Amino acid sequence: MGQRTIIPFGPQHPVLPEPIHLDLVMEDEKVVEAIPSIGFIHRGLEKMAEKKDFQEMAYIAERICGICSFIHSMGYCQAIEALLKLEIPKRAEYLRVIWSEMSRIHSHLLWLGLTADAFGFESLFMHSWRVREKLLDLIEETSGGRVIFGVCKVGGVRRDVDAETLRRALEALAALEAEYREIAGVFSRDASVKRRMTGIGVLPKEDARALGAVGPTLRGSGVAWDARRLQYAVYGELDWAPITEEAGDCQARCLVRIREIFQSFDLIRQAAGKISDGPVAVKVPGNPRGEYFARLEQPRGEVVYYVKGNGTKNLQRFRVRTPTFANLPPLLKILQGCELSDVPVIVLTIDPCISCAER
Amino acid sequence: MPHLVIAKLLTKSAARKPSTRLYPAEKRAPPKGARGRLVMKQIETCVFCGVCGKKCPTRAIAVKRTDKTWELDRLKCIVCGECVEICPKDCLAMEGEHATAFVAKKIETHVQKPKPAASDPT
Amino acid sequence: MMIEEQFWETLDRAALPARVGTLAKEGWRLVQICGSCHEAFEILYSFDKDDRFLSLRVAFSKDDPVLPSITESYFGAFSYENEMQDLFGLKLTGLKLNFNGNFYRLAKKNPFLDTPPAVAPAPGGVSS
Ligand code: SF4
Ligand code: SF4
Repeated sequence: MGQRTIIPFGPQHPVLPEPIHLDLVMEDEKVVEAIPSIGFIHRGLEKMAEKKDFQEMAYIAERICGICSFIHSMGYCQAIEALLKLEIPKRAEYLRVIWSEMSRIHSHLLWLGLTADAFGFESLFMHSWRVREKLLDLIEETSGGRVIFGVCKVGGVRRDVDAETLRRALEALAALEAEYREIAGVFSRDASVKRRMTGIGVLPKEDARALGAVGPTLRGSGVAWDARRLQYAVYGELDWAPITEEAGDCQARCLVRIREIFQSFDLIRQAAGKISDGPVAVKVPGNPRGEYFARLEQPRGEVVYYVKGNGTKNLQRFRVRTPTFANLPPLLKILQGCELSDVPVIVLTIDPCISCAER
Repeated sequence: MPHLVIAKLLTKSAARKPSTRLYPAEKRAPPKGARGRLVMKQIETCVFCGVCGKKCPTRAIAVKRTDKTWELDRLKCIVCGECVEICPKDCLAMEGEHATAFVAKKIETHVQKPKPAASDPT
Repeated sequence: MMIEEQFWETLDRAALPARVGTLAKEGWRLVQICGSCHEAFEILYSFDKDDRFLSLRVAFSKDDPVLPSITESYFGAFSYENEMQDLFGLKLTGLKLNFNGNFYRLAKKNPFLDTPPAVAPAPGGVSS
């Protein structure tokens, strides 16, 4: 047995967009164990629900994360709507699906860029973000915000997208898809990318399930669980199936995301084809009472919103279990036994979003 | 294993003009409907009902009926547009262009000038 | 929209590890653990299997903040349990990976334990 040293990784580290701290227990170049500590950006947003009006809380829910923002507000609104037994208009459901798929594409593109950066492929990083930037413009055009959409509210959505804007958005998306196809090809075929990711950080199927992995981390290990299967919003009316890869390594998790982007483009097209006219919001009847768990699929995996209301305008308890929080135990598992130089890539392949994890 | 798959992408982008802009010399026109910043469009018609301040999720607006002032703490404003939608007198507007960065905190105050002698219709 | 049917079970904290053990054997997936603290502690454990969603509810008094850990059956639960330990000051017994209150780095110890102050009148709005 070699001598053990502890190398601190983070909270400030070039590959980490957000602060998480890992103590890496090393034996020579091998990681024996990784010990996390979080809480650098704990904001107590869950507690804030006890003081804020439940309708205003949708804006705060959206700010849990700056990347998967829209789905956070959507999940919160769905949970409240379930408590209120509120049926929201079909058009609003379709718009929510379109926006959440846009946010999935933008999140995955961001991730592809960051990963390319983590293994030192700067030009690939720039190209991923170049495409993402055009998508952000589209998001701004349809919703009014670039990263924080601000369009979801309890009872529906806050703005309608007219037919002309939607048509133009679809055209732009088709052009984007073609551009993205070139980037996707580099990620899935290039030798240097493969060398950094194949066989690295393998998470076997049984471990993924037992440790509670979610999202692409779980699907990259061959488990076909995707919360969209619960058919919330209008996912039940669209034609799609969870994407899985069998290998369980970094490459597999990357491929899942690459294919999910194509799937999202397709889902947007389907939803835009089926969308019907009508109102986009209904009036909110009274205050929420009771408790409910809403589950949705974020770009990073399944997210769970628990809301408990007692008939007043403040919620009694609001709880979010974010995908990154569920992916921490699997991350610690795959870090065991890896090389120090692979740590950044492995940490990134679970797509960590620390401000989500701590709320 | 194929090497330099990115070569095609790189040649293409070398032939193209840059994807970036020379900001701030060259600015992007914000798309229609973008929420950039909140502006007080016409303080003259404001009736100081205070609905905008009540509806604001971050309490960024303070309305003082006695002094006829309307104040906005721009650093609190999250540019949601709730106040614009609710204002009965259509005083507020959302501009596509974003507010620039600040060096110091300040509250923007708009004061309504006293009306000429004629009595107030509202 | 489809409102998912959700199942609930209330049980005593002493019976928790055994019940969770059975669920683990039956192949349920641990979805989340949620702690809350108002008049008393209330901990919710949610599981999912074949699109069925089951939550166990465990409630106990604030004077006795001790809870048996379920890391025996679900090792991945350590993150939730350490979180509760740090945010609510609960004491988890039999926790397989215990950070002893150092999982979250917080400015304030156990910030979620005290009940919030009554809603303060918000500034802004109309004043005359
Ligand atoms: S809602 Fe409109 S009219 Fe009323 S105080 Fe605000 S700006 Fe003035
Ligand atoms: S835009 Fe939203 S946050 Fe800003 S002042 Fe208006 S209501 Fe308040």
